[in-house]
Amino acid sequence: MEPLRVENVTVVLNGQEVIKDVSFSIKKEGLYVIVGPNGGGKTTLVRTIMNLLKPARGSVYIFDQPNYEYLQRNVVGYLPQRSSFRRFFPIRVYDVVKMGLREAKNERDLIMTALEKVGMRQFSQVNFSTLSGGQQQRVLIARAIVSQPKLLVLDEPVTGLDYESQNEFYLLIKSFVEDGTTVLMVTHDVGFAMDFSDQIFCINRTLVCHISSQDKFSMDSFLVKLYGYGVKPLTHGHGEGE
Amino acid sequence: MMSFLELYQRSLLAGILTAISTAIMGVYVVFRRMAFFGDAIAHVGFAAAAIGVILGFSSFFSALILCVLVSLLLGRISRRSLGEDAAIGVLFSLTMAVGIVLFSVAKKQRSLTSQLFGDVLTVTNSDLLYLLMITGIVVFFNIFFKDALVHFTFDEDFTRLMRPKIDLVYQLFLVILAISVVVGVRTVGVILVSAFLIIPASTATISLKDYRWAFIFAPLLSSISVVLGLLLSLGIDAPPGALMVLVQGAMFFAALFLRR
Repeated sequence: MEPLRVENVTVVLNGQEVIKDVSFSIKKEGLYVIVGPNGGGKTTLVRTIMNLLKPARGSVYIFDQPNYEYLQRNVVGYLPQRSSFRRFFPIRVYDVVKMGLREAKNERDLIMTALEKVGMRQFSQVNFSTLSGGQQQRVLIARAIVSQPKLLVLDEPVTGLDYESQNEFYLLIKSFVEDGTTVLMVTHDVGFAMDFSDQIFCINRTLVCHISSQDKFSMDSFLVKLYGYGVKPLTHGHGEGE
Repeated sequence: MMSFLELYQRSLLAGILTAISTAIMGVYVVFRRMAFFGDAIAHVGFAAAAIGVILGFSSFFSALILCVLVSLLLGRISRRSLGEDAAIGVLFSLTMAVGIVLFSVAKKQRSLTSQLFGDVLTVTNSDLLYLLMITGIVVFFNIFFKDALVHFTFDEDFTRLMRPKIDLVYQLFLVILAISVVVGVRTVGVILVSAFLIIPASTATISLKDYRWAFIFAPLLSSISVVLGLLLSLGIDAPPGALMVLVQGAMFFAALFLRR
């Protein structure tokens, strides 16, 4: 069974085609990354996969079932963009993670196990709004994995995190992949995508390129494909002498 | 004290029931930043009551029907992000103007005053019955859908994913919110009903670490304000509704001060 198949998806928002004719598939478990410029339709694509947006044309299949049918009966772990929740709502970490469960007899065990995996077990009774950005992100990951889903979809999970928290987060993601979970992640971190992912899907209103880990390619040609023009890394000129 | 209870028995009960229903709904209104929404519904109720008076219908039921319809419409507008605050602002002033004109044309100044400021001292047995019913519905609804409403308040997208029928629950929430506002108008009036929605809930949430306490403290504080407001009205020649809101305001600033 294919974890995910996106077929000719076009999404129209406020009369405009935000993404057009996007098709790709994930054939086996692993780490898959969506990259693309701001406004390129990455989040729209993810929200369509999660059935939060209806495509004008095309279909999405999760484990060979239409996404809306699969999502009614099963849980796909989902980490939305950081702006989606009310940051100052006084809710305990335990209750945030509980949101990721539909019905479970061993609710407490599942929640505490998920918190353990992300290193936040000791914070279960703490007010979520008092945590740091990195800790909040860990709790939201625990919420995404608490139902032990086979597919995990993460929308820009490291945006706004410091360097150390980003690294910890990437290690966590890799551990999920090693445990057999399929992870689809939206990121702006092209370096991470090139180093660690099995496949990269480049979205700029449509699928502009599709690179697998076996492909040989240069960063320059990749960036040209992604942005449509060459992007030179910014240098500060330290130590070059004037 | 006995004479106070005898004299104000119905008013006290009506006030406390209003306090409980509006404060519980108010917790969501405050967390979801919908304060303006409650105001708009109350003002629609004012215009609808005026239409009811002119056409000879029950002002209560005409207000109830129109408010429910408008709250569902506002709920749709807010989902589509078509400038919710501006839409509510237009509706808010327009319905106020319609209400004043209609009440004046119908020469029903007394009805106008009771709509604007409520009349907790003249509540009837049928008013009490409506209040009891809506308070029961509010409490039951909040117990039954507590998790869904709290999750939706915290993170809408994620809740839509986990609970595909959440939009239906939210529509029901808007209907019950509209009904509790209309019923509250009878007790404290159009102008002060939004205070009952907002102030006790805001006071209860000022320094809480867990939302659960807000659902206990908000109705409690609001009920205390009803009792104190009625007691004060014995000594001060002022409308009890306004005195209740003054007590709520004092509680809010005290909580703010204590938090610092």
